[in-house]
Amino acid sequence: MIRTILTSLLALVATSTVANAAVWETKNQWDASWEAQYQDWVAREWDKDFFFKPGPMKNAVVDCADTVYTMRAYFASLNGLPFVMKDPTTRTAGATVTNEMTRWDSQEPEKRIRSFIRYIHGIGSTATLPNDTYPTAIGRSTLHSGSLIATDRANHHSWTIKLFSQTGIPTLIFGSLPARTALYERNDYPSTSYIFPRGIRPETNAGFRNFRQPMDIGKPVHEVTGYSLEQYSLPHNRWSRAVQREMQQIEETHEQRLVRLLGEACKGAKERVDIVKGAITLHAGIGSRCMNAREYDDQSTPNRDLRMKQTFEDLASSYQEAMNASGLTARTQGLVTAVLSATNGASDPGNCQVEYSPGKTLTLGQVYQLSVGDKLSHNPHDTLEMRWGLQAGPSAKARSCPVY
Amino acid sequence: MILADDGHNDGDKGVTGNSDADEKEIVIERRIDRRLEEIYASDRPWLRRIIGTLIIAASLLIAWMMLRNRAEDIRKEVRRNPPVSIEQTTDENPNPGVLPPADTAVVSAPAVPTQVVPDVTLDASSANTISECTKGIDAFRELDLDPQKISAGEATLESVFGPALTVAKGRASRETQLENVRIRTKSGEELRLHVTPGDQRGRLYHKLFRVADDGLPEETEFPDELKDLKDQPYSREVLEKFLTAAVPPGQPIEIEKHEAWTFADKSGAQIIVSNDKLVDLQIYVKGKFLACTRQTASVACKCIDR
Repeated sequence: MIRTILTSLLALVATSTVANAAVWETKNQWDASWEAQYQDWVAREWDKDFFFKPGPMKNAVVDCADTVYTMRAYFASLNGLPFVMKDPTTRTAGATVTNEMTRWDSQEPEKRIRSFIRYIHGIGSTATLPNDTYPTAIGRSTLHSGSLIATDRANHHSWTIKLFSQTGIPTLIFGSLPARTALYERNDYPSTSYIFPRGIRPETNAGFRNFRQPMDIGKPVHEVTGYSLEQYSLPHNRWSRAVQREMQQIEETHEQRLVRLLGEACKGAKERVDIVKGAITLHAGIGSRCMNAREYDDQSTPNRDLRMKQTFEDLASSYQEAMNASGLTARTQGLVTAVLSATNGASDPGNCQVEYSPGKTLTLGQVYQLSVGDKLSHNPHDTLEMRWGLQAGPSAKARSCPVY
Repeated sequence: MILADDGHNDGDKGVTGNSDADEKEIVIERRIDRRLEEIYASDRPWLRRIIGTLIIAASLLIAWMMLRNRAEDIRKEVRRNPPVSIEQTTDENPNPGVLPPADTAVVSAPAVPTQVVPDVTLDASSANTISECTKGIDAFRELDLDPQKISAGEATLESVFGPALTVAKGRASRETQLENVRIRTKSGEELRLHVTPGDQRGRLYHKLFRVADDGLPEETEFPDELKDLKDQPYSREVLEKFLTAAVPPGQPIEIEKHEAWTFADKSGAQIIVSNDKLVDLQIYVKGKFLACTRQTASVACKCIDR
């Protein structure tokens, strides 16, 4: 009898715990100390392999905004902090999505976190980020690890900021299309014209932003603590240089800048190899059928190609500045010259080789010429050689299929 | 202890015994009493305490769960049917709206929604703030800040800004950043079409959500009659088709748009429009910005240095 009573009571307690379990229990509240720990965690743990690491988000397939939301939500889940975002499907006051949701009661704690963050991915996008973030002032106390960058609607892209170097250069971690588990890393500012294609304008919501505190969700953005329009007053033609100057502790030398830009250009070209390969594989798999809008958008590379071209242009202009100022080492000068003049340069181990197909290689200088000469094709219906600008396009299929 | 109790019961015997039947009854009662005494005295006081504590704990737990479930039910009800506030009401709106029709980047509602934002008027102080903040700005020369309208309590955000936005329309770049279309279906369910930029060209695409029991959106498949809206870029045709599933047909609960306007003179605006009513507006002009938010019974405007 007593055993029966005890068993029933234990079952009752267990059921009540599971039946209304939050995604995670809120044990702490965001404050200056937790914000500092968040920044520290992002600087240490947040990287392009994040979604390969053991944990609830392992092997998740993500795009850019998914990555941004995950950075904040995952840290909150680790530390019992609240995660709150505006329900973007209604402007009803107080409609928020929080870790207190009980929709995944029946799941184990780790699975609940995954379900919740996947849910955020489903309702969140770059367009919803303005509800949950605010434009920040530029300076090392206000812009830091865990901040983010958003573009305007035309490009609707976003990046997380892992850290700023002493020379004021951000390490960006970001997802892109097609959505996948691997993220990308970049050690540079995105080009100003890519962030602000219609000018440096606050109404576009583009630029540097920070996550809002839970109590600021739903408020008009100008009432949010930390809100600042300072970044929109910086000169357009030197916007990223002006931000870098605010963020730097020591000045970046021409040598450092050129070595960094060479690395970024090489990385961008090699990343493109995988993207194009994926498109060619899909293209072969669908036979004569045209890609639908979603497939086309996932496999085309207009923005990636534009960003790579801008990196090359930045490399060229930075080289010009360095030559005017002098002070480059002979090796760096040789590497950059090899790229900009598209000479072979393969004898230098620092030279970047882009193997766009097994056994077929382009030098970074060749990619530079094809990129700045607008020879690269971003149409996923084109052949491999056309995608790399080695054959004139468009292909017959690219001509006959819709361009989305 | 048992012996002592027996002695006590024996003592009662002489007082209550009369007939045989009574005698038997008394004997039975004595046995029951003795048994109970044995149980009470047997004696495991820790067991009694545990059972008592568990019963109290269970009662408290059940009461707490009932209260919590009730609170959750109330929260769900509030989420499903938010209290009528300045931002949402079920009043009929005979006005088709004063804002200019949208350009090609924006899809305008083909019907007047049933759920509207009520008119709230601007007071003289807000009107002064607007006037001061936009002084000398070309894009806002056409603001209607007629003192008579203001003093008569007839000036609204739409009446003040409508003329300027209409004039600016042809000379401003205007983009929808986010749009939500909410309808009630025949079955009484609320569906939300959530529209955001969805491809690398920034074109608008839509997702369909239903409202789950917890009051929050849940992505859902398009019903059979709307199947062909899936994976299409958002367009006026998509909106019109979606609204055919509304009750009454063509009538949304709400169309909410978040728009960015960039004017020829480099000033800009962010506006949130609900059923053709301005609910929030931020204007960025040189050196300062103006923020006006519709509140419960008025409009609050601030002019802040940038």
